[in-house]
Amino acid sequence: MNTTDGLKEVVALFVNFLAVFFYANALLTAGLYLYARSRRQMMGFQDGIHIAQMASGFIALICGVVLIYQFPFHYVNVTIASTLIGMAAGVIFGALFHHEALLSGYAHGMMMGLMSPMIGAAAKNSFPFLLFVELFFMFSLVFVFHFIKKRNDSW
Amino acid sequence: MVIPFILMLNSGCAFAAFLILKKKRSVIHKRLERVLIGLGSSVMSLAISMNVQLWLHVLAFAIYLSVLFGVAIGVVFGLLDMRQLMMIGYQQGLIGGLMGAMLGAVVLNPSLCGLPAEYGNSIETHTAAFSFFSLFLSAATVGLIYFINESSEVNSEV
Repeated sequence: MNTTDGLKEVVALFVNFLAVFFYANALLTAGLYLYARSRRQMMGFQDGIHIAQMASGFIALICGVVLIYQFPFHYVNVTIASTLIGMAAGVIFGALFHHEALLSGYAHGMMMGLMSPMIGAAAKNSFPFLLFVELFFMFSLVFVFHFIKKRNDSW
Repeated sequence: MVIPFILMLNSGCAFAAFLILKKKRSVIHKRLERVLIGLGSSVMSLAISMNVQLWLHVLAFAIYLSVLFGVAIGVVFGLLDMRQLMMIGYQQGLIGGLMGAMLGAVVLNPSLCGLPAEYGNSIETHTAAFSFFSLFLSAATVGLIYFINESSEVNSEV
C-alpha cells in the first residue's frame, strides 16, 4: 500500500511540475514582452525580426513539449494548441516593431509549433530531455534580454 | 474523400496569395516583399505538401512528389518580382515541403514518433483534422498578407 501511495504522490508531483513549468514559461515570456515594450524605441530594423523569431519559436517549442508530456493521447489537439500559441506569440512580439517582424514571428512560431509535439512524443516522456529544452528556452530568454539591454546601452 | 477537396481549396488560397502579391508588388517596400514571399511560400508549400502526402500515401514516391510540390510552389512565389528572390522562395519552399511531408507521414504512421498504439484506431479522424487545420493556416495567411498589404501601401511611397 505504501508503494502505490508513493507512486501516486510521485505522479501527482510530476503532473504539477509540468503545470508549473507551463505557467512559469508563460510568465517569463510576459515579462520579456513587457521589457521589450519598454525599450522598443531603440531597436533597429533587423533586431525586431530576431526578437520576434526567438521568442515565438522557443515558447512554441517548450509549450509543445510540455503539453505532449501532459496529454500524450491528444496529439492533434496539442499540435493545434502549440501552433496557435507560437503564432500568437510571434504576432504579439512582432507587433511591437513593424510588419516584417510580425510576419517573421508568425511564420517561425508556426513552424516550431508544428514540429514541437513530434519531438516531445519521440522523447518518450524522458525527464532529462524536458530539462534540456527548458535550459535552451532559458538561454534564449537571457540572450534576448541581454541583447535588448546591450542595444539600449550602446545608444 | 475530404482531402482532394481541401487540397483544391488550399491551391485556391495559394493562388489568391500569389495574385495579391503580384498586384501589390510595385507599391510595397522591397524588404517587406521579401518577407511576404518567404511567408507565403513556406505556409502554402507546407499545406499543399501535407495534403499531397495524406492523399497519395499509398504510392511509394508520394514523399518525393510532395517535396517537389513544395519546391515548385516556393520557386513560383520567388519568381514573382525579381530573379534574386527565387533563392528565398526555394529555401522556404523546400523547408515547408519537407516539414509537410514529415507531418503527413507521422499522422499516417504514429509509431514513427513513438506515439501510443491507440492512435492506430483513429487515423482517418486525425487526417481530416490536420487537413482542416492546414486549410485554416493557409486561409489565415492569405488574410494576413491581404491586410498587411493594404495597411503598408501608404508607408512605402516615402
